[in-house]
Amino acid sequence: MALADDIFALRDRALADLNAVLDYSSHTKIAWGIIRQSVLEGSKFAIKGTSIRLDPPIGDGSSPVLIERRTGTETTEATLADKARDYMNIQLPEATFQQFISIFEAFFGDFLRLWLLAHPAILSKKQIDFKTILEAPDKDAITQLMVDRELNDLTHGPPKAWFKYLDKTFEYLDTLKLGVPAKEEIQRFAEAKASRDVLVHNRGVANKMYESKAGTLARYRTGERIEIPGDYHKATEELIRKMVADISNAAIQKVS
Amino acid sequence: MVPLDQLDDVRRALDENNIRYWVDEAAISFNDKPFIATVNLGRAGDASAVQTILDRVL
Repeated sequence: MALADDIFALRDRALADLNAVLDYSSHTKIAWGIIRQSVLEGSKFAIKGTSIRLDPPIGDGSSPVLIERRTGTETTEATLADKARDYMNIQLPEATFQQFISIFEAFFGDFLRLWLLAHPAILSKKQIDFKTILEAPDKDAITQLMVDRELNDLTHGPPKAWFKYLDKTFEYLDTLKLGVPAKEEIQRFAEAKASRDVLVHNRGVANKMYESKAGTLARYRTGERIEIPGDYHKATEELIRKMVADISNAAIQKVS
Repeated sequence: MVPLDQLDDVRRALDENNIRYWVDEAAISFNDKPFIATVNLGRAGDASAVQTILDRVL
């Protein structure tokens, strides 16, 4: 039961992480929304801090200027309200969307590590050089090394290969595939991960690699700036939540 | 930003004109005033064109 308990814990941690990101996203949007509305209502505010200087009022005296010392950006209440729109609609969804993908990657890597360490015979045909064996303190260290190497190779590949590998590890044990996630879910996840990769590595501009990774579900063509609209953001979070739960629950069933 | 009681009309107008948008899940009421919903048009959204459409229907 120890393995099942560990999988339960992994699942719960990933779901709690997703909840925390959702709360952060929701609360941050609300906070910015309140700021926007308060400015539209004519509220005034001032900010003092180590990195922000409050200048004397300019013009008619109704618009204090805040200057961020490190960036030199000047901000009035009106421009802050205007920027809030981009913060809420672009930067926040993009950042939290990336967190969704990262949470799943961490979950998947930890899950597979648990699974392989519990069933190291899955790697029995893998080869390792004798020098590494001589330098390892014990058999557990060698197993750990082989599992880490396997995961490193796998997770640098496409998501489709991750799940194919996952099925193979279960086939090795009982000739039954895990059966989750569904093919359509894997395709959607591949597109989401490709979107994340574009945000992280290509300043958000879709490229040929994005089109290739996303396949038929590609939302943009090469050269277009990708977006994370609210409905897509929500659907991705729900997909990852489902995949975490489905993989965990199916695996637990097999070991219980 | 749209008063919540006008949101359905706004959605209908945007849908009829094939405008891509999404609406924030949370609407906010400030100082006990009516709830305001936020309609997002995305990076490519043309706010002035949308305003023209909305001016016609609201």
